[in-house]
Amino acid sequence: MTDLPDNSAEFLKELETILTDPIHKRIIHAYSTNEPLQTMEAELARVVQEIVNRED
Amino acid sequence: MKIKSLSVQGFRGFNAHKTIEFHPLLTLISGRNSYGKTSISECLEWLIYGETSKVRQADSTEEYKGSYRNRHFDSGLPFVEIKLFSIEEEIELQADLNVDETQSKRYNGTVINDWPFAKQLSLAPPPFILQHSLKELILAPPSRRFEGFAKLLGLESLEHMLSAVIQLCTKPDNRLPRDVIELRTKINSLKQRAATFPALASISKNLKQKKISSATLTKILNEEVKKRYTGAVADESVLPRLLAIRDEAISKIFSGTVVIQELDDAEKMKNSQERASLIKLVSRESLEKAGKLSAKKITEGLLAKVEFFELGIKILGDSKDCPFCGRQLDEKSLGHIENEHGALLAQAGLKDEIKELKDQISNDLSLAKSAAETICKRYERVLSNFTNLRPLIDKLKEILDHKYPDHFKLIDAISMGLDQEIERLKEVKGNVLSEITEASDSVESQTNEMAAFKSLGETVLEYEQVLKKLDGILNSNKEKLSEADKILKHELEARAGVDEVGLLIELLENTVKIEKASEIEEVLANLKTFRKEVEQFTIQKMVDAISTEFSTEVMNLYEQIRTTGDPDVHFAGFDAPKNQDGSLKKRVQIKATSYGEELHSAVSSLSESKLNALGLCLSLATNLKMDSPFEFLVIDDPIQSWDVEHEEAFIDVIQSLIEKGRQVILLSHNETWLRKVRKGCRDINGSYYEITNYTKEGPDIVPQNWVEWKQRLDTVDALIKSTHSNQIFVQLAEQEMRQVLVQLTCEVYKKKTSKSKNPNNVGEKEINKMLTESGIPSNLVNNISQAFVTIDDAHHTSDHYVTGREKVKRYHSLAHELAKYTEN
Repeated sequence: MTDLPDNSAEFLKELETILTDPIHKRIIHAYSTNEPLQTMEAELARVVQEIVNRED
Repeated sequence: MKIKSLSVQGFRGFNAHKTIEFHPLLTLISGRNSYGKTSISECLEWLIYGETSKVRQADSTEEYKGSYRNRHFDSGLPFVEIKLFSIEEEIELQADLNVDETQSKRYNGTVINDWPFAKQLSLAPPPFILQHSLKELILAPPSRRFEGFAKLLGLESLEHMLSAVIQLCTKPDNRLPRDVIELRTKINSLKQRAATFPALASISKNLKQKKISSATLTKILNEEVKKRYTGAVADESVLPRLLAIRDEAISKIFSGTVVIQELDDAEKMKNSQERASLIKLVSRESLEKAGKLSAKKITEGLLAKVEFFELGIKILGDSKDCPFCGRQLDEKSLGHIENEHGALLAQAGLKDEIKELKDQISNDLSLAKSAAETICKRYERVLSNFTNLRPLIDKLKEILDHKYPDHFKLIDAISMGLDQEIERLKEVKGNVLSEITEASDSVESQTNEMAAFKSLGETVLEYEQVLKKLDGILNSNKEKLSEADKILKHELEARAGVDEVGLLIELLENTVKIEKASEIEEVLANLKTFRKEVEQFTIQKMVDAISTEFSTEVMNLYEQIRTTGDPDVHFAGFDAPKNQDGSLKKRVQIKATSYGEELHSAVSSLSESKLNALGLCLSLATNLKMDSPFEFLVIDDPIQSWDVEHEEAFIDVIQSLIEKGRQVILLSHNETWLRKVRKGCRDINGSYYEITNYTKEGPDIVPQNWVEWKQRLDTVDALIKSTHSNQIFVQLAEQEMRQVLVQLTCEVYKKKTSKSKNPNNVGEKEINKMLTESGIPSNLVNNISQAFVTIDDAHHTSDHYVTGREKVKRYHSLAHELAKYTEN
């Protein structure tokens, strides 16, 4: 969460504490105002890729 | 910061250069329709935001193309400049309008890319309250109203975040990694296939579970298999047993397969390395080695001499006798040997260099030879399924062609192509090996090395081209072949009566993938919860911002405009409606009441004028609530469609805005109302301009008196004659007298010289000069000037207040005397 306008950083921090699912916390943590959708999509992609790559 | 002045040239309605000075508290500008009032607010908007709200909100920007530049302006770049001031500083902003409609900005004369307050500005409401956008937010659909309110209240970033989250959660599979997409597709297709076997309904049901572990699924499948096919066998024997059943059944029908054998990661790496070692033979480095070897050949004769010389030196040792005949050598001869032939020793290293070079080249060639062979074998193995398929192609046709003709044609074409290419590969490999042998021989014999390497290089490149072609065929058909293989497998299983066994095998082989796919599905499904939580968070933030303090602020302003004769149908605050489950809807609701009863919506219940008033109050409240770099407010024609009572009520709102520290710039076509505003805000003594005409040069903006001098004299008379008159009254009378004399001086000056002066900007020294220039007798000029000094002193010296009343009377008669010069 870098390069965010003042109130964005504040809102995102608060939202991150409210969210219960750790994956959702990760997605919001990755949020960037410059490329909001892309940054969240990239984090979601990382989450699901980790599942595929996981050694069981 | 407040605005001190605006200078403009060539922008919107302004052609010729024009400057407007603003009063720190209240400036009124009146003018008929189309006289250029709105151009004033547009100049300020464009300078600050780089575009006007009209253009920003336009459906078609094409229609507004070129609209910033004044049509008649033909002398360079249009510009807008404003001077801003605060207690601490005064700054100057200038923007030139470039040909491409962009701005070139200057901050205190320095060129900059963005205003220093740009970040603060992005969170602040615009200080422009414009007639055309007043009701826009009120009449917008509730969901769009939510976005508008978010922007107004500095919650735009939150709205952007929510919008991005909604997009992410609406179509999450849009940009998933390829691996993940393939896995999901494969498992979904497997699940769909399982659902077509009624006998395996219980398994299909388990597969539909939200999340299933690999271990659980394996257990269920093993039990099912044992029940149907294998009886009491160990779990680990279940799959091999099923495979055996299937293979045995299928082998009776067809023995081929169309699977491309995948290389594992280690083999892929080895393949790349070996191909690189072959390509290395045609590299500059390799050719240089061959060239060096060739070049060094000419030194071989020299090397023979070196050997001979080394031997001579060794035998000579420390003695000074000839090593071959024993004759004593003189100093001259010894010097000759050392000086002329000693350098030969330095060449001794050449021998080693040649040997090292030969070894290196031989090693490279040997590695390349081995690589060429291994690569060819690898491709033969990978493609063996297809090369083995050729003799079986008629049988394959019989199996596939009638039901899946396209798949058969594909397999046939690919297998034929691959078969030809593998033959070509073998042939070129043979060429490569023989060229390597030739190159090795030429290195060993040190003859024609360059020619041999050139020929080898050409063959190696041909070999690489064949490999690339094979790679291309495999890569471009991978997915199609995988699909064809699946179809063939299922067709064979069905023909052999083991399709159920085939499905169970596939399920058992993919339990881990099924578990992972179910986990991914769960992650994607949970995005709905994510969306809802973010949405509720955002709406709650908005509700917090609008429903309490903000609602009260808007309500207070609204109450100020409300008049006693109004029907009791009114705005009653903002809120977000709720869904049946109690969650908040992403909407901003404007509440209204009618004689105490709650109404469905303000939009459908309030009259046009009230909606107008509400829009105005909303904009004003937002400006008062939010931090902004600016303290000014430009209000353009706020009272359209209002009756006189409401118009007058709004004057109180203007006064309250000024009391709250705002500098108000009011534009209106309604001269009568502006007179009332001046009367209501008489103490402010602000600036008043009248746009008297509009020509191709732009608007004629003429400064006018805030209050006529005759009215001021009436006030002075009333103050002096009042039985309650005290020091404060006298002080007020003195202030009024000063204004009267200034205004009269300006009027006389205009009459006598035809030159206009703004009374607000005329100082004490200028009075004397203007009156003299106007031809006023010197004794009157002196008396008036003296009166100014006395009155000015009276402001600061309390002792003079005692005699002030008499003096004011005297100055009153001076004013009457001066007034005669304003008459014809």
